[in-house]
Amino acid sequence: MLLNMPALSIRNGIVPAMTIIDTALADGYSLAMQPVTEKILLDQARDGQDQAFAQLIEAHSEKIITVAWRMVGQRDIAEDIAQEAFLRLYKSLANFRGESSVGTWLYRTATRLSIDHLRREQLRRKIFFFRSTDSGLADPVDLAISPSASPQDILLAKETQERIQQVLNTLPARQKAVFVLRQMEGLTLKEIAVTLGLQEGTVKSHLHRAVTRFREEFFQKKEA
Amino acid sequence: MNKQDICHKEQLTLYHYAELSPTQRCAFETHLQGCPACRTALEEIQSSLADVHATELKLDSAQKQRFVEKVTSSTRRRPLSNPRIWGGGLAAVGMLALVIVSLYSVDQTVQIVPARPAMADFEVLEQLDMLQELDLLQKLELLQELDKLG
Repeated sequence: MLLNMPALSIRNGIVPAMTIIDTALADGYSLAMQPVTEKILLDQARDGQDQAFAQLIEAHSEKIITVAWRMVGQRDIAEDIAQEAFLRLYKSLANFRGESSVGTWLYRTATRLSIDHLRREQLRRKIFFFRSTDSGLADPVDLAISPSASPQDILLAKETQERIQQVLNTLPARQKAVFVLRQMEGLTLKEIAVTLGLQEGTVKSHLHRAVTRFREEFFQKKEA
Repeated sequence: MNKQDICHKEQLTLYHYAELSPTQRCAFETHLQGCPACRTALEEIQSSLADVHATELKLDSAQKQRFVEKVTSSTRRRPLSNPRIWGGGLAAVGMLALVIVSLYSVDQTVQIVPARPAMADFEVLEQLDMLQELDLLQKLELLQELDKLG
């Protein structure tokens, strides 16, 4: 899929007009820009041109915030995670060898940061007996419902989505990550293994446990 | 195949996600025809995951711009470490150290210590940069200790 992206074209004379190629990579993340353009922007960012780095952020922000948001369920935290991923890229610019695309690197970093966040959050809840204060979870729910749906449909969809979020929140961090990457992001097991730096067998096992737990809890809640 | 081999529960999940090899898939489908328990389990998986959709997040240009500004303002607070500057600085320090050592080497009692290569010093400095993450680790360790205490 080829698209023109006016927001990224000629800006302060840094980079000529560019196109986006939405091509699935082996490790699951689509190319947000042509490799040549990306290389030019990386070189410029290394030379201290903030505008070039800003263009990289603009090209990848939506995808990176989205994956973090799907994993942590809260928009503000997802933005913080995405921000940290971009800051780490900035700090690593000098050593960035381009073995993977910037998008893939950011995607991996954001998913791993999301897992760290989920672990810390689960531990904190366990210690301090935090009740689920994730009213922010209503955020993805609201966005998921079609505005043209009837009030009854909206209510039903909200209830279902809330139930799904509750079940998702009971999953351990890694299980949740594997589940989200497979079920929502559509990555293959191989791609998930690369993204999270795990063995494929481990990913299978996490996915199976997540699905089993999800199924059991979902059915229990449904019956209740 | 005996029942224990066939009723491998993980295969249900892998079958649902089309992650079985063609041979495994064929064998599993044959098994499904004769195993009501697996059929029920599969139906439950399909039913419970049917409503789990990927919600899309769309950022308009203003939101994107706000995010870009947020990140770039942070990068200004965290200046990019330039390896050339570090390398140059370390090389100068190394040279100075060599001069001092060579001056002292006139005195035979002083042992000449070979200067560390500049790149090794650079790696140490890079690791020092990682100390920024230390507070996060300390928090995590504190939480883990509290967890152990119950």
